[in-house]
Amino acid sequence: MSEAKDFLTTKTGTLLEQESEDRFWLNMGPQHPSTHGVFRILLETEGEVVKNVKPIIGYLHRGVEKISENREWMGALPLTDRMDYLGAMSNNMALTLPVEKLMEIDVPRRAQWLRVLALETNRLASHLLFYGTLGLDLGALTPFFFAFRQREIAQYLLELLSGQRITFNYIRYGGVRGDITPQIEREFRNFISGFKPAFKEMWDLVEGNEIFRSRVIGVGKSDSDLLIRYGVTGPILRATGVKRDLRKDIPYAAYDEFDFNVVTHDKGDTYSRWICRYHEMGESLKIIEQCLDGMPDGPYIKKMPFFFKPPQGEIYSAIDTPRGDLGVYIVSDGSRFPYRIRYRAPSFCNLSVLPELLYGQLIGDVIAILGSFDPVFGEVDR
Amino acid sequence: MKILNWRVRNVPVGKITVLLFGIAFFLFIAWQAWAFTDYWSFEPVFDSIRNAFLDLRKNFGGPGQMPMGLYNTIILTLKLLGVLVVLLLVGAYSTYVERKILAFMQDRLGPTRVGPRGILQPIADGLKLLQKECIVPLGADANFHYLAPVICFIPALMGAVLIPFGKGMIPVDLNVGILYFFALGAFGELGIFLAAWGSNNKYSAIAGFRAVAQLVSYEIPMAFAIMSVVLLSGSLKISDIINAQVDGLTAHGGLGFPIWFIVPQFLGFLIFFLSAVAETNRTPFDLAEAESELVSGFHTEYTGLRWAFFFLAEYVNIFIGAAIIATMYLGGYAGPELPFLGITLSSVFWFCFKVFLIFFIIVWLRGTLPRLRVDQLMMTCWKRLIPISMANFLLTGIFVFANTVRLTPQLWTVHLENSAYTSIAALVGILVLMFGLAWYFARDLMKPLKERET
Repeated sequence: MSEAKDFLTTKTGTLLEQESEDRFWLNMGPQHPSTHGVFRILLETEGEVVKNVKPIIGYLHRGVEKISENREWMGALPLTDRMDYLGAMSNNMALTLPVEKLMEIDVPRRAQWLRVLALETNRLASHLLFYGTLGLDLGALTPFFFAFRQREIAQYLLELLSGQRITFNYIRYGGVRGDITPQIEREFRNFISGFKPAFKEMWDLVEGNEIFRSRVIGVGKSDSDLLIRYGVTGPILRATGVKRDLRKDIPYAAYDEFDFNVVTHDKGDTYSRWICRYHEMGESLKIIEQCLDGMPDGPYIKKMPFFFKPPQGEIYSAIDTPRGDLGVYIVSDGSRFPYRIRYRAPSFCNLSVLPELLYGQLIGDVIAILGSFDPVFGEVDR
Repeated sequence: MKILNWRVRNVPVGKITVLLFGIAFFLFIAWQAWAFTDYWSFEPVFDSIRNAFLDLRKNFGGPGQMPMGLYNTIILTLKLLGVLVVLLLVGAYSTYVERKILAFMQDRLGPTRVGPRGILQPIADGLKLLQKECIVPLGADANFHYLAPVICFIPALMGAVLIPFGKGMIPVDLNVGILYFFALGAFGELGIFLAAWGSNNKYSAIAGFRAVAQLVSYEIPMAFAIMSVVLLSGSLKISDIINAQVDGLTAHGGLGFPIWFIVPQFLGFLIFFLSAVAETNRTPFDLAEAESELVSGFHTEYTGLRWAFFFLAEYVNIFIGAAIIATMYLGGYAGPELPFLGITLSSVFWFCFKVFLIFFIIVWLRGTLPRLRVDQLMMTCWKRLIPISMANFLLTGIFVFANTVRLTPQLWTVHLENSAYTSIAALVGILVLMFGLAWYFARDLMKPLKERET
């Protein structure tokens, strides 16, 4: 089987050599309802059992890193929104953090708290989407609507904060774009009071469901050694019992001032990933409440010029996004433009372990495992 | 800054709420039907139709008149046309009802745009599909691709002649009624497999394999459940099965006391219900059109009216399945007298009410459950439903035998020596024994593919 041939297609199907009469290649994606964007995966199946896997990425490549080099530092920031479009706040945070370190800016405390508020609201929205789409992948319609009803409000709150629903561009160098007003705070509190019963209801709808349990328990089992070898992070790694969360390990923004737990589970299967993400929503809610209760006074941004020149140097920093560790490596040559920006995207690293888990599974489980990875292809391909 | 002022519903739409809504909905429908039947009773309408037919009949069969066969042909054609119209309406409006019920469960509105409360939505959908081009993919077998929706749809229509819409309103009361229904169920699988094969699509092919395995498997428990009912009623005929539940006796047997068969056959009811859901490819058994896995399964490559025919067939099949469940277990068109209301509700109302109840439960399942995996689907059938249905059949046989002896003690010896019941019971006993032994010795092999660990 040659590599070049893998991308060739005839009019009716994929032209790949079959290993035996009983097997055939199934081309899943890039246009498929459950590949969470434009993921293409070639499955060699024997009946329903997957015997060989070839993931193909790159359908959403836009060259974010290269474009960033031709813009000013401020211009590189909105591009990060387009990477992980479900957790865009984290991406803003990831780029501002090394630049602030390089320039040694003191960010006001209120700005740091506002950042935490925005980040956690966004994490909540992102995990809500995961909750809904995993249900859809398993064939249940109702969880999607339950989750999206709440996610809609979360997006609305983020819109109040930042002015945008998806591409926020809210966290800036030196602080955040806008302050929180009493009106917005009231909306946040309304959301929290409404979200708590809905959160309980979402658990009741799915967790005790016998079919749901049989579809996810023991499916896509992984152990921490394998995942660490592949560089997998985030809730997927935490689902194997590894207590790694950069919010605790290397606190950024104001996370060291908050009281929250790192959620872990021990089985490493699809069910554990679901549990981890579900309970992380609860932790996010706790952080949001603490934010609203103890918001410090002061300015919300340290004013920066639109064009600025960071000192010469290079720096790497990483934060915890809803999907894992998003690392940013920046190189500055002292000019207005970044010399190099390199993102270590969590979805990309998480997907690399996928073929190991898919081997020997059934087609239905392939979808469930892919759904439990919760990849965002804007981030994988950048 | 504009603060959006929209109240968010946080009503817990839990199981109990849905149940309460269901009950309220049924009461509402019952009240409507009561108001309707009170002032404009159905029965005079049916009586006048019947009288018109009798008047017509006077012109046939006598000396110098037209032959009786012509009259029968006219009547049959009229009946079948009526059934066709009813079925097409039911098939179209099932989609609307389903969408509204699902919308309620999912805390949204459902179709609202076409007509008041979206009541014309199915017609708009139908017109839209009518205008669409029927695309035949390159490399597909055009003949099979064309035939498949037809072969799916025709048995669905043929099954409708069995449905007891009301008292004396069975279009064709066949001697082998239930067997006929069962045979047509097997016919529909052919259409699905033809669609899967003729599309020249790998997703369709997988769906076709799944569908055949699933439908053939689920016919076995269904057949056992049907046979248990037939043992109780002593007849395959639809009207006899209903009469056995209403009067307790038929021309061929019966229990001797009136009882709806859901009471002695509760297990059988559950088995038949699950099998019927599986036979109609509904959640949680919708493996053949698993949207998230196989795009659209066997109808991935279908567009326009051909696609619409698959859906029409599916909803008509649901209706027929619900009607058969109502007939076999819920007493068909029979209903309680309701003396406190001072009226007798129409038998048509009771039939529709029961069918709607079953339909509501099927939609409720769709709103609640995820899809089973393919191996779990087969395990559910072969390891759970089939043994239970066989045991149920055996117990039913013993019960019926004892009941017959109770009714006619002098037949004891005759039955013991030469009785259909005894031989059937013995056969099933042997089967159960064999199954049990096989289960015992192959218990390691029959563990699930993936053991539960959490």
